[in-house]
Amino acid sequence: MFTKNDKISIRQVEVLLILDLYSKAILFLPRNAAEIANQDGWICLIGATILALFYGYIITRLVKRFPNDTFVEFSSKILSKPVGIFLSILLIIKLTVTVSFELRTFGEVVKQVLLPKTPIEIIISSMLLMACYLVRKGFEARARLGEILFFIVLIPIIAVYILLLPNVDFENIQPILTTPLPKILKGSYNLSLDYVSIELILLVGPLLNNHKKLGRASFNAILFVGILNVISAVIALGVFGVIGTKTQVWPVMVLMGLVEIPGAFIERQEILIMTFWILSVFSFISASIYFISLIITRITKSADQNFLVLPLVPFIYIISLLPNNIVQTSDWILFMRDYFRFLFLFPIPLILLLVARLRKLGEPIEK
Amino acid sequence: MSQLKSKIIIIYIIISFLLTGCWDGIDINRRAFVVSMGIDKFVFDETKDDPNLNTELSRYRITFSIPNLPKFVGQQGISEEPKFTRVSVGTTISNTYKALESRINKSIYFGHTKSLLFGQELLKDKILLKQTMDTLQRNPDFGKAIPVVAVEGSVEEALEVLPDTQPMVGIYIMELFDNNRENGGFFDEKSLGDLLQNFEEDKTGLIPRLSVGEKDLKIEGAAVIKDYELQGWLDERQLKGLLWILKKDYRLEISAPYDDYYIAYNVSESNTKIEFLGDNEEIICKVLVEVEGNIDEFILDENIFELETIRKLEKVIKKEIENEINYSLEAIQEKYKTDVIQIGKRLERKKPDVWKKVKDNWDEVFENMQFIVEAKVNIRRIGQSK
Repeated sequence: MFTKNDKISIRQVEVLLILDLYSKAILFLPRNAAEIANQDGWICLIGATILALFYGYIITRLVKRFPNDTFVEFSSKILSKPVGIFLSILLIIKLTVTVSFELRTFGEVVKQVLLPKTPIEIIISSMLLMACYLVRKGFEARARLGEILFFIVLIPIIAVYILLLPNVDFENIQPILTTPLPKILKGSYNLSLDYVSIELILLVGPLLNNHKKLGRASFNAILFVGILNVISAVIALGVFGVIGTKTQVWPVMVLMGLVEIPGAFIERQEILIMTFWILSVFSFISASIYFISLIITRITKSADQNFLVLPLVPFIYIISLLPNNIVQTSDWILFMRDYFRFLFLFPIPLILLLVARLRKLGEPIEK
Repeated sequence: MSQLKSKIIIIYIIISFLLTGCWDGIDINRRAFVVSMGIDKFVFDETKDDPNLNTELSRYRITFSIPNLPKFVGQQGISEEPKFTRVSVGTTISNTYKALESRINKSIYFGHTKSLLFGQELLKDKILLKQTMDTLQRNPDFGKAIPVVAVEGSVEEALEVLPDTQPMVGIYIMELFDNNRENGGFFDEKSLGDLLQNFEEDKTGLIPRLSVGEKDLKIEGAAVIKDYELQGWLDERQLKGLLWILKKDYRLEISAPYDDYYIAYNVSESNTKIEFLGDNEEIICKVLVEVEGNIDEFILDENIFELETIRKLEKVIKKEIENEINYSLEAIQEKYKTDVIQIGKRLERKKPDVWKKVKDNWDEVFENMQFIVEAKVNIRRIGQSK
């Protein structure tokens, strides 16, 4: 009954987008930012958020023109069918590789911190199978789960930030703005690529029950996550200093270890943040798998999506185990970021939007 | 129907094998909780050590202090001892504690470590100290809030002391840190995270010094570390002046001479500002301390309830504070030649362009830097007699 219900509300889109954006970057972003611009890293993050809002704007404009199509259909309509299908396959490959590496990173973190003796294969495959189970229940189930996770994930994190405030030494982010401007701009661009989950909006079109507010929703979600990221970077820099933030592999997680919960009997509370992070990674992984299977369904015009989910598992599993170690994984992720990640965020949607305008395709936006 | 039943039974059997527990499960009574770990360099001692140990592979001598848990929670244990102290020798830290696991019937766990003790010999050895700090940062079991102390003397002895009020030395040290934080301090509390940050950013650091007594332990003074090497020890008086600069919220008793007596002044709030005067060639550092507090001890039969007296007292206290700070600054500038109070970092933040010019020979610049120390004292309360 519910499994065939694939329409979701605009609020649910917002929540899912926040979770997906947040999980992608949260553990690493302060370190990346500090590596780029030292104590000015948080300024780069503001720039990155502004760029991300711009990407979000272009993509939502495009999706609003074709409310009943996914990327597969409207790219075929705009740029002829072969090009559309080629782009869709490129998107499938990109999503598959991204989700694989995300899964591998997840496995490495969990093995390092929580389960040192459990084989990483078990950690990865149990996460993958769990995500598949959710995907097979349809998008609406994901949306409802997202609504629950949203509070479980974000309220504790915000509480932790507040508890950390007394530890923050704002002198650590002085002197402000000594980094040259070109470096800040380049850093902003690099960091904005961590908002890659925005591209999932390209596929969300036909699942929505109301398109009018899509722009607003993506704006809110990106801004919200952007502010959270800036805050976490300021806190990490303020607590650890520049060099400390750079040397931590997962600065935000170590931050949690510093929180002293008043009167608590709990120790090692950094494990808690792991839990929240695992939940949001789960959301991201299931989203990617869902959209990969959705694209394949749309390309092959098959009626049922569910039977496509399980065959994806071995591919993702094998790709995720290809890198030898965490360093190589992170190297490959950087390679992906530099050469592929930007494609579907900015150039392709912009070209599609311009051509659609010129050829007067799709519904013009009223008002 | 029966086919379905047999399918269900097979599934149950498979599940019962697959879900029997995880790889990482360890029973709590199989764990040895290392409450404190004392790390020192291995120095061969003919009278005590096994001659086989005298090789270059013996680099660390690590003392582990493990509580006798049943005894600790008030149950009847097998042994009467409140804690076990074990010494292990090895090439690296992991090698050392793995070696201990072959001698103790439990698995070593650092998740509840309450304090780390660094021995004198370790602090003198640059290579070992660097490796130790790396291990402590890399291993996620060590929380970054663990207190760190330096021991002048034998780490083993320090961990074998049985303080009457708390037999576990690790917890005792942690509670001394808490005391110091709450009641105003005699030393600068240093956690593992702070120390790592000091080393990474400034290449220098102070570690509180632990002195071993008969039935108790005392933390006073500090070890001065520069470039991962021990430069020397600051005693209590030498450190006291630095605390005005190091600690943000500093509360302490000040005893100042007044006529033939000593008066006691209790600081309730203090604020230290550091400014840099002068330009490129000669940097002058101005330390401005603003203090608020109350008089705890005065003289019987003498009237304090007069503005004139209060002013006089303020002047006496001001002088005492300035002397304290100057005394300490002299010690670190002349004797240790080490910028342990992060003046360099402050200069970098306040005047980045000046810092760029001096950072290459910062040690020299710091050694010859002129300090102007100024204290502003306010007496707010005088107790309940006139």
